[in-house]
Amino acid sequence: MNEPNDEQYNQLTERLKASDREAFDQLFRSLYAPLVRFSFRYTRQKSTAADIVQDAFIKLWHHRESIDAEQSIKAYLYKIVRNLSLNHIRDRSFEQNGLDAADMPADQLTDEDQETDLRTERLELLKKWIMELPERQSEAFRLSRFEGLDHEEIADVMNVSSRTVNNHIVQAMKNIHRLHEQYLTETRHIGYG
Amino acid sequence: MAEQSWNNDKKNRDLDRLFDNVSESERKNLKRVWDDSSEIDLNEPPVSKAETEDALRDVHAKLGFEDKPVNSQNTDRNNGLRYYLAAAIFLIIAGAAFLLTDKKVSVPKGELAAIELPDGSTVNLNSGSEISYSRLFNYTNRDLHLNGEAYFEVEPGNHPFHVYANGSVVQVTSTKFNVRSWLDDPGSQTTVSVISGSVRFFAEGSPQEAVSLKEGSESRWISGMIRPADPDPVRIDNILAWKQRNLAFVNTPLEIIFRELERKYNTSIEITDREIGRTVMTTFYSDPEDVESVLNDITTVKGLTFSRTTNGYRVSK
Repeated sequence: MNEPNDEQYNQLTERLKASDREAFDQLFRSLYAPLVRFSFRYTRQKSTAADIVQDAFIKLWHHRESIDAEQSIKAYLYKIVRNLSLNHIRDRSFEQNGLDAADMPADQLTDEDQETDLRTERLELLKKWIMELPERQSEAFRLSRFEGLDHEEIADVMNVSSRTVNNHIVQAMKNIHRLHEQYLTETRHIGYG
Repeated sequence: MAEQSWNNDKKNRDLDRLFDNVSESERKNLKRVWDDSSEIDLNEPPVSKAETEDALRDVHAKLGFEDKPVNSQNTDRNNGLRYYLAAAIFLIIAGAAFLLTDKKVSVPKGELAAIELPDGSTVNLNSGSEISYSRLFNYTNRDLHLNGEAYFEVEPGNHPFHVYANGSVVQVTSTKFNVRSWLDDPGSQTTVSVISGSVRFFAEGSPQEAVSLKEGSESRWISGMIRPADPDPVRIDNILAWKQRNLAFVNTPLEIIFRELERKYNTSIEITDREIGRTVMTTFYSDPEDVESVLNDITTVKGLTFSRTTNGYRVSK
């Protein structure tokens, strides 16, 4: 997947503002899959996530003329998807939050070749820990590490200051590190690191 | 996946800032978490290219975009491509030829018609009226041409809605209005009456000389005028009488009334003296059954007589 760079995103935004449908399609093709995965973290249902992301793009098109070209289009879309996802959870009044690691399919935590066992296990654990983080920390960390958003963009998406984003991410890493230490002492496992 | 977008200054600055308030010893631990996490593939749930394309088509449909034929990727490379190309070229040519012809709706005399346009706007057409518009109506523009009388209820859309009526133009975004513009009426006058919302009304080619019409007002334009007349208040009942098959005329010359009757009853009415045509009359008929009762009424009031001809009627003094 060749994601556009910042410069290309800016150009796409300008073209979108001028009602360029090809630019719209390009943005859709670049960001649909990551946005569905992002929404899935909240909604836990792929079909719901897909609907939400499609709605977000429809909103994007309807509001294309009022988009601020100075602002990151990526952050703009993540923000819409996040709001729609949170609304969805609220409307459905899910008891557990969408980031519950208990929802992760168990078989994904094992089941790999002998060779890559250790590395895979390490990464799966890391993944599990990221999911177990407090919601805001997990959110900020994921947006930073997996969605490739910079701090300003994440701040925009989460509606907080970029300083807060910074704190969330640092706290996230501290927690992950702590969970790792805990894990090592519990299992005397030496594979990690 | 995070790696490639990583090589930019903004994000390195973020990374530096992350460790600003972190002690030296802890920094090493955190850096390791940071680096390790770049290897995680959070590709859950997987979203395929095909799914993305399907979703994009859905979104196009919801937004009312026209879709190009789908490209088949990687499949049927050898056998299918030639066929697809030929088919595509044929479709493009046939499609273009089709798209270039306008869509026409004409209403036979004696009938009324109501149609829905591709953008969801509706048009009621009076007897003998004709409209035409591009097959790309709503995609590239919302322009239509009218000869006759029509009542429009225009939905909001991506393009301004234009009615071209024998040399004049009505421009709206979303509103309800009536346009009367008969090429064969004396003076070929166009009358625009606004029921709700507002419109801009101007001579074709002179949009800067527009008259702005608000709810309950009307304006006229006669071929040759630079700018349509200033707005007058309008009696909406009279203007839309035709929609209920009623007839309503206010100080209207008989010449015009007879044209209306001709279209409404698909008949022919001739006058023996030009002066008869210039006589004005104010009258209202609720869904009159036949043309003779109306003619009888008009001629009685105006001291005229009428007789049958082979294809219609003759009115004389």
